[in-house]
Amino acid sequence: MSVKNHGNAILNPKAQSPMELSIDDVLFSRIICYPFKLLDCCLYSEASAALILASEDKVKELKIENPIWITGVAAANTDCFIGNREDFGRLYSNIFAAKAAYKMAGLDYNNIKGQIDLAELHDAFSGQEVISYEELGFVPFGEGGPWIEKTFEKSGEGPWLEGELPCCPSGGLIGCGHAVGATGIMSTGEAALQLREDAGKHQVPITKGRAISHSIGGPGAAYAAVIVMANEEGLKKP
Amino acid sequence: MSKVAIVGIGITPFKARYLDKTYFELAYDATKMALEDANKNGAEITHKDLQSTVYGIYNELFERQFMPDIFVNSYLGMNNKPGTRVATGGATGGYTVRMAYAEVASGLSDLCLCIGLEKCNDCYDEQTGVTTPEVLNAIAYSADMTYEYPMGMMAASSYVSMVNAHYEEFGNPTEEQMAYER
Repeated sequence: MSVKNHGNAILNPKAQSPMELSIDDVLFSRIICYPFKLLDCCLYSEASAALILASEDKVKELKIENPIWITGVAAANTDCFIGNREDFGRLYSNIFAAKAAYKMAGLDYNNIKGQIDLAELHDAFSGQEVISYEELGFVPFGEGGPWIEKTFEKSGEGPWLEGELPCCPSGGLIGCGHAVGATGIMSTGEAALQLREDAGKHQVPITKGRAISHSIGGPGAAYAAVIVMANEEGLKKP
Repeated sequence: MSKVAIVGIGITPFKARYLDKTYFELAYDATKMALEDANKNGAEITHKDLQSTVYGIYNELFERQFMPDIFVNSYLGMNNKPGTRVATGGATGGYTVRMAYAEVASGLSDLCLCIGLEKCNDCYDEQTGVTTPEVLNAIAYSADMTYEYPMGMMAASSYVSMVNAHYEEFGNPTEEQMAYER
């Protein structure tokens, strides 16, 4: 995860932490809070990201050639007294936000991996992205870790840049840095650039025309938001 | 509800420190880039055409400025129009997109600026001259201050609880899986 996102960031000229790492670099980096090491954590960053949102009428009036439609938006807040939670190993806000956003966009939670081209996830800490794979419906519960491990160097599989569902092709928070207020807007903008095939060197293949961006916040993911986007082709596909 | 599209995207580079720019100058840069992107096919939108703004700014303690959004609003030339700030921790960006979506879908605005910014290293301890402990504390104040912060709840440790509990139940993610190399 750490190596993947630091590596993806090499292709992103706007990223703060592009690094070519080995697994040992990560495992032997300084312990921050076990099991997170220095390279499992994003760096706090300074940046700004802006999007201009337009209504359908305005898109026609301005003759915008490649609008990226926001087809699903959802968010969920969960118990911020972490000690009160039923199951500690969950990021509950994620699944509620994801299911609502997919439903609004007409997508199926149980088959989401086959319906989107990429996901820009919130990887402030490496383990967080791994659990998010499960909460967002990419893999069944308990299979997030094995998904990234077993698909290592298998082209067309896993969350890698060349995988079945590239996750954080921009490098995510670990690769780009985390400029908190700007981050989720950068992720959404990056996913939109991917759908426009304007992302640059870290462009991934766009066949379904749909992508998601994902934000988490607060202690233990008290907040989560999921945005589903589609280009013109993605709107038409089932 | 109207359909809503992203028509302009502007992202500044993410850096450890912008010594040469204030937070409102960073916001200006991103807005300018987003307008240029929206205009690349011949449209001629300026800030005057943007009918409202939704700001995503997480933490006042970073910028040492309560209500930082109103200063950005003026700097962008958006006076006399509505600007609303969203602050929902690390998810501020996603929630900001959601509120900007609502602004347009509801018909309140036809063109809305959705902008996020953060300049965390404006937050420093003047006595020691370093930033990291101040930044970490500014974030840790997001935790429950009555019971959990005094027990060591900070950003990393809150997610470590989740990861360790997940490991206990499923045997993963292992340290190697979190690190995974390619």
